[in-house]
Amino acid sequence: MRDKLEALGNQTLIDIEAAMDAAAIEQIRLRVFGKKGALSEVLKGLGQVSALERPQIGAFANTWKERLEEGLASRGQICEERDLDKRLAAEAVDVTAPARRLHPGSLHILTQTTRRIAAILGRLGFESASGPEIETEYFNFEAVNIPADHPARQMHDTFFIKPGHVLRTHTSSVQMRVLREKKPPIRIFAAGAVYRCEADATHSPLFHQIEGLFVDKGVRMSDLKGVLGELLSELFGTVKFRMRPSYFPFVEPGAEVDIECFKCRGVGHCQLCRSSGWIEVLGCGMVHPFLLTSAGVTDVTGFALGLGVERMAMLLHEVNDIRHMFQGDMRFLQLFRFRGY
Amino acid sequence: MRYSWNWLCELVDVGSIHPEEAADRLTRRGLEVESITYAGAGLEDVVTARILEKVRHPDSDRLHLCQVDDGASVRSIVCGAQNMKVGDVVPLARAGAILPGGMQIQESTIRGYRSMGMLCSRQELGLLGDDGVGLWILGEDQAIGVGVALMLYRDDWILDIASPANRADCLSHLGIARELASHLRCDVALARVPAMPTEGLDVHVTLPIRGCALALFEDLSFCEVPSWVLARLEILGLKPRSNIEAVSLYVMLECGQPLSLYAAEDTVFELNGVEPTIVTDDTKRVIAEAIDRRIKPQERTEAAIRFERGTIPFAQVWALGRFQELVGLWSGKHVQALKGYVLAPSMKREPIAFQVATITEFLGLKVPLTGPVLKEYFERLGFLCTLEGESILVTPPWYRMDVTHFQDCAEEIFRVVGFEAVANTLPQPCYRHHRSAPVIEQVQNMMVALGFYETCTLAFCSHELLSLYGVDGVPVLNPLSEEHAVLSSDMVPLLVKQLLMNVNHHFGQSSPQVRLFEVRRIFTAEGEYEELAFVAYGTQYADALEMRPIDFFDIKHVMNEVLGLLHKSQHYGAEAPSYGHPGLSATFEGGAVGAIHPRILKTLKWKRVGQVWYGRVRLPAHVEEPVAHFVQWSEFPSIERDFSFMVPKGFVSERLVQAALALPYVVKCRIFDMYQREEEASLAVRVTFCDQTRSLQDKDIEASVAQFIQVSQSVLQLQLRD
Repeated sequence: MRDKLEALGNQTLIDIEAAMDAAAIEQIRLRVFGKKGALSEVLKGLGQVSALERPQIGAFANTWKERLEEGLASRGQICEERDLDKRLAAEAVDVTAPARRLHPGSLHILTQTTRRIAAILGRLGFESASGPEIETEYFNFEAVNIPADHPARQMHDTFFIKPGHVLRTHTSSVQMRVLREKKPPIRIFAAGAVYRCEADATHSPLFHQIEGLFVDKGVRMSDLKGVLGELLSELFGTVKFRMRPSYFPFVEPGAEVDIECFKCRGVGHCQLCRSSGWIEVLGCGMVHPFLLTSAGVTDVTGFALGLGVERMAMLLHEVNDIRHMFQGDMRFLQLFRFRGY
Repeated sequence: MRYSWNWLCELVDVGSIHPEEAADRLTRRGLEVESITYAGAGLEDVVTARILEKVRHPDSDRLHLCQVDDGASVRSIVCGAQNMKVGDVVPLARAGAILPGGMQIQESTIRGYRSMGMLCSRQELGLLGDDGVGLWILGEDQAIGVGVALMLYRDDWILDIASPANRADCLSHLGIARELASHLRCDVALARVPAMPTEGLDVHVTLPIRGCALALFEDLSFCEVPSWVLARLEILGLKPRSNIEAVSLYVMLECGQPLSLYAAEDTVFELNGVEPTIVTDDTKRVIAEAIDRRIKPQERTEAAIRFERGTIPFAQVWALGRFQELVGLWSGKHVQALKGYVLAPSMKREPIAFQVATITEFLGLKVPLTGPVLKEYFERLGFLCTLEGESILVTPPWYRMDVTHFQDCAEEIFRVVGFEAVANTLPQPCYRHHRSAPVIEQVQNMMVALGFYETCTLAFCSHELLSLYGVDGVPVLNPLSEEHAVLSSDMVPLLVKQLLMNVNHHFGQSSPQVRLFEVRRIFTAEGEYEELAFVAYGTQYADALEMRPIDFFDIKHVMNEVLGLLHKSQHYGAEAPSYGHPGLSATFEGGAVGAIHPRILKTLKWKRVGQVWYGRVRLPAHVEEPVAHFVQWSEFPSIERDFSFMVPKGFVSERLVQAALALPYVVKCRIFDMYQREEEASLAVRVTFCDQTRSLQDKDIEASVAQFIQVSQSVLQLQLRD
């Protein structure tokens, strides 16, 4: 019995030392300590051992059992480490190889510019409004004080869709719609596409405008000047600007707004401002009384301003030809990666 | 419109101010001076000089050595011309001159002799009428040392002024002069014209006009105009065909009223818009006509520009009187029209009344304007003005048809005090309800995150392109060109066009990657809608170890993301739109996604391998963000069962998924394998069963499983695999 235990113990110790992975260790454990394992087989013979010898043999068997379990545990740990090392080696990749990169994208600079301006106007309390792009002649012209024989009607080269309907030539067409729908105080901006029958390096048959309208009791021209100051300084930084009296049928007094040329600061030969020192950026003025009375709003005054998004984008991003905006050339679009406005 | 500085100076005493300074002041008053050019450009250093001596150059057959006197000094000039003699006065370009043709004159040595300038021909001075004879001989009587620009009446500055469309009065030298005068606080030298007869002519007016004046002259054939008048008209861009036409043009530029001249046959005159007969210097009996109207012109002549803006009522009689006066003045004779005709509305203008303080309030001025100050400002502008306590009554002058309201008066004051006088105030803050970002912005951001570049198309396209795609649109009645004939109801054709242009031209040898999208208004017969459209070509990843081309399920993912954002159903039908690849297209309510039909790409001369992908979806004006509600999940384990079927080609797998989801205890059904063969495909789905209240046992789901198999076999005609 003692010999048998001794033989099993020694053989198992050799097997344990030879085991190379956790699976082999587990196999040995089952073979030796399992229900029908080798140890149980040997200990079955304990019955035939005399009662006198039995405790000693029992103790001897326990000693072997402990030795073997210890051996299994320590070898088992080594094997587990080896297994993990193997797995880690197998799973390793070349981390310098390229990532699975998605394509980048960007917002068009017209969208970026529109959002910049909308955000500024939004902070000043202006809410977004809109109107149709195929507009009635009435809302596009008559409603904003441009009757059929008005000289200003010729300033707009209009696309006609059907009798009485045109592609809107300006976002000012939204003014009367809002004046009729809402009650003062009205503080809105309307952004969108407008259409004129012309095409060259500075004109496109489709372009975009943003119109601001503010109508309330006691609105003064100085309020317009204040809003312009905010808008222009947020867009162009601290910049000098001026309001030059001008004529738009839907405002009176009307003015064009120039900013000091940020390229030349008014000195020397400059292509951007044609050496005038000033860059025209938008048109504005006090809402013409015709609009207010025909919308049926009384006892209020207001101001309106309108700007070209393409012109702003071209100034802000130094784009030299308006046609770049509409060609979808990836080389152009990639220049203006997304900025979250 | 071009204006002569000298002419303005004749009308108003500008003192010592330079044209640049006047231009700045006019611009600040709303009369934008776009450019100032010197009329005698290139002639600045060319003066008249007398030839004192002329000898043959010892080393040349053709050259002469001349001594010339330019009034300041005597210079030696080597000259190649032959036609001059001693005593002639000729133009001398001094060293430093840059002639109109760009030729630079320098002191030089020609075959050993110094030449301190150049004697010039007409051609070298940029003038016509040179028949190649040589120097321009100015005669012996011409004074020497006179600038040629001055001699040619070109010592003048041309101001190009863009005046506002409502200022008809500013399309004349008189109008600009009035503006300058009010700014400089001086008077305009306005000619008092002799009266003309107002009756005698029998005129039948059949044109829609506001007013007119006509005058019959018995004999104007003697009419002559001085050369300075012709020079002045020429630098302003006008070339009269006869002397009396020159006078009529001069009157128009002076007061803004166009005049028409007719050869008169009898005393009955039809005013019907027929083109005037050409009046030459031989025409004796002439009718001069001035009409007051506003019409859309067919052409861009100087007269048409004025009629477009509308002439000034009451200017007609003055213009004819001035015409009569100038013919007489320049011809040195007394000229008087024989008969006339005048049709004019009342000249009375209604006064505009308002409170003194309202101007300051309305403009938001830094310093309030008092009544007397306002009165002075208005009077300087030619307005009649009465102060009555705190109220003020202003009457605009007859030539200011644009002033009718209080706001117009406020604008006049704004022009006088300038933008600097206006305070800088901000409207009261206003707290408005902030919605979440509008749908369009969310969609744009999503597309950027999905790797698309936003583009902008022009909305217009040709009929031809739309019929190729089988798409309709809204035609434009007056298109820019055939290429801009229709507003498309679908942006896909326009985006594919941009994609093709990129692929064909902008990538050279490298493999093209184009992913474009646009959100814009599209036009249909029913109305206009906001729509998103996108196109893509290239690989799914910008960079990866395994670069594979975009496939249908990549592009479907893009559409699913957008539909998810819009809270719209992500169920697709297998129908293709008119331009879609029939096997690689899916449609859903308000949109479609897939690959462009290869036949269309072939017509568009597409030469690459691989599909061009598209997607489009109509965007709602608002998306109500649904409020998510709590739902108790099951605490009990679920059971999963896998099923595998053989399905015929063209089977829509979503039907199987829907069938599974309709059964008891089924909470999920997922397609996890799909294998296409020639005629059929194998499809494997994993069905998850679960219950809220207890752990399911196999026997609980037996009925569901049996029903699933039954439905798939008998209703969907599928074959269950082992």
